[in-house]
Amino acid sequence: MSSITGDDIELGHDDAHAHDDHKPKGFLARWVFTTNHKDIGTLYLVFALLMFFIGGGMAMVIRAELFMPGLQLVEPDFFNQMTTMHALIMVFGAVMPAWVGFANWMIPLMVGAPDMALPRMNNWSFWILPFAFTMLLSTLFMESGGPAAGWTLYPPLSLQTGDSFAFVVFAVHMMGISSIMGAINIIATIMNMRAPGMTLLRMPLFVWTWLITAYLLIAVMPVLAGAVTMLLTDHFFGTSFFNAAGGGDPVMFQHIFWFFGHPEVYIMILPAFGVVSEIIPTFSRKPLFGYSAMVYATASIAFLSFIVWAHHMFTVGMPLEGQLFFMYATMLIAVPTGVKVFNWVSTMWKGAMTFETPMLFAIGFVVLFTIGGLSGLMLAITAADLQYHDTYFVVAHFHYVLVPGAVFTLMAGAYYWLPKWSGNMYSEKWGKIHFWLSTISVNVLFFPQHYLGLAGMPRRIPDYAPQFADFNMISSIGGFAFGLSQLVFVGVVIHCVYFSKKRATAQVWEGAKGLEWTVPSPAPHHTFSTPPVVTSAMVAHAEEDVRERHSE
Amino acid sequence: MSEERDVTNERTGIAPEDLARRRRNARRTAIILALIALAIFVAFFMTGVTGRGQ
Repeated sequence: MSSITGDDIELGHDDAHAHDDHKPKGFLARWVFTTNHKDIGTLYLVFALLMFFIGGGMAMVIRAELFMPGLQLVEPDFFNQMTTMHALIMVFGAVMPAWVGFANWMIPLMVGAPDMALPRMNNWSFWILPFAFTMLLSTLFMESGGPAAGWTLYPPLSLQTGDSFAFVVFAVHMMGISSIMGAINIIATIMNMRAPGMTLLRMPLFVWTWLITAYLLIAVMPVLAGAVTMLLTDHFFGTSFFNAAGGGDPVMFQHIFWFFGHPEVYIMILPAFGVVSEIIPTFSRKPLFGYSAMVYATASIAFLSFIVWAHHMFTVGMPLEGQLFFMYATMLIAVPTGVKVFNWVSTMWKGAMTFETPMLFAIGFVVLFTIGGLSGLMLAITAADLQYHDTYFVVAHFHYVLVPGAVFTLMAGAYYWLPKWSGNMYSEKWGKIHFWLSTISVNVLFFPQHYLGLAGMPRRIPDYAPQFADFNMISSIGGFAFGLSQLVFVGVVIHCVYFSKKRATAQVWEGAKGLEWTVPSPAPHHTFSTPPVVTSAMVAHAEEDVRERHSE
Repeated sequence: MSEERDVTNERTGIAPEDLARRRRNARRTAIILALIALAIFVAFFMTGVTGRGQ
């Protein structure tokens, strides 16, 4: 064995070179039958980017129709199909697979494992997805059209979908199975494949946040599967789970859906917290402030996400005690989230900061996600929610959480690890152009929607009253600009992978610390064939380090 | 070094008994988690069956 970087880590000789050229020959063997975590990670990321642009195209249709009052471009029913499909594709096709792609690439590298624990199941969980989304998208070309009741699929409206509804339900089942298999694999990997010395409290925050996310996925994806199965039998087999005329209860669907739906929000955002917790220490050249508090805050958020679901249903009507419970429980989430924001800012405090593209996106996340969090607090107030509910204020809120929240951190993570994946440095100039275009346009896009909502503009409508015209036009211009800005990202990635002449070092970033930075760039096809020996000096935020700093 | 490689798994380089133990534990973890997911699915479906008209 030879020591590659630092005194405290030993890597197998084959990490550096010998296994690098063991890639399978031929397209089918390399990509279709692959069991390699890096190749499957790449497949997930490419798939997610494709879905991001398909879902984004639908958003462009929505914003084009809303550019001015009146019906211009599409029929109202098709508009509703666009809003529904946009959400389903962005949630299940873009954000979630992108995070699984990051997990596949980085978790084995971060914990010193040779691969995921169950590589063949890993292959299966990816290759289900293209079939699921082909089925979902195919409904747009069917006689009865795609789903148009919103991503929440509330009955009785969703049950008015024609025969294509069976395709939608089956597609959701397949997405759920894929997510559950991915989550099982991640938990099995983290619990069984860590290198010697990689104790739980030495794991990078990204691994911690994904571990908790994986448990959330296993807990709530079967709930969604149960809900849509009942919709399926109500639609095609004459049952009355949600049909009041047959003794059923449509409100029960809302309870079951949101018992899945609210943790789903955290499934999309907890890995984002993990990425930001990796990036900010690197570019602040300081260890993460409050590592263990970050772990406990993540677990607290995950727990609270299970007891707040009915804040989506205040207008349905519920006992006063229920309203108070769900209002206060929702507000309680601000405490662990506040701990996280405080710790990120404290990590930057007096750090030797530089502002490369990943750091810019991470800081953009901290600022803009906080705006989304604060509007969430406003929505948590039951009395106020009766005014805000089903207006564009809600649309503005959750897009601030998901676009500058999840999407910005996906971009941050992509820029951060792209040199490790490709072996080349991306163009910092174009990365920064991408960041500033995205940041300006995303605010032009979503901030006016707060005012539209407060003024009473309902969501999910293709036409609106003339008094909403100005803010809608501004929002649409922001939307087109944001959509075009993302083409810059594609250009940067293609240039980096295929044309960049600037080679990346193993460590890539001066302040980077952790096992993934000890292997060469690009990361060889097989890494950590011989498990590394991990010591506290090797790990960015080891518990010993924390104790030592406290005792100084 | 070459002697060390002779006793290791060709693909992963981990000693076979250690790798087998890790994979066995991982499979057990996976089965338990899959059963939990299945139980949650059944539980919520039964919520629908028993919760009608409540």
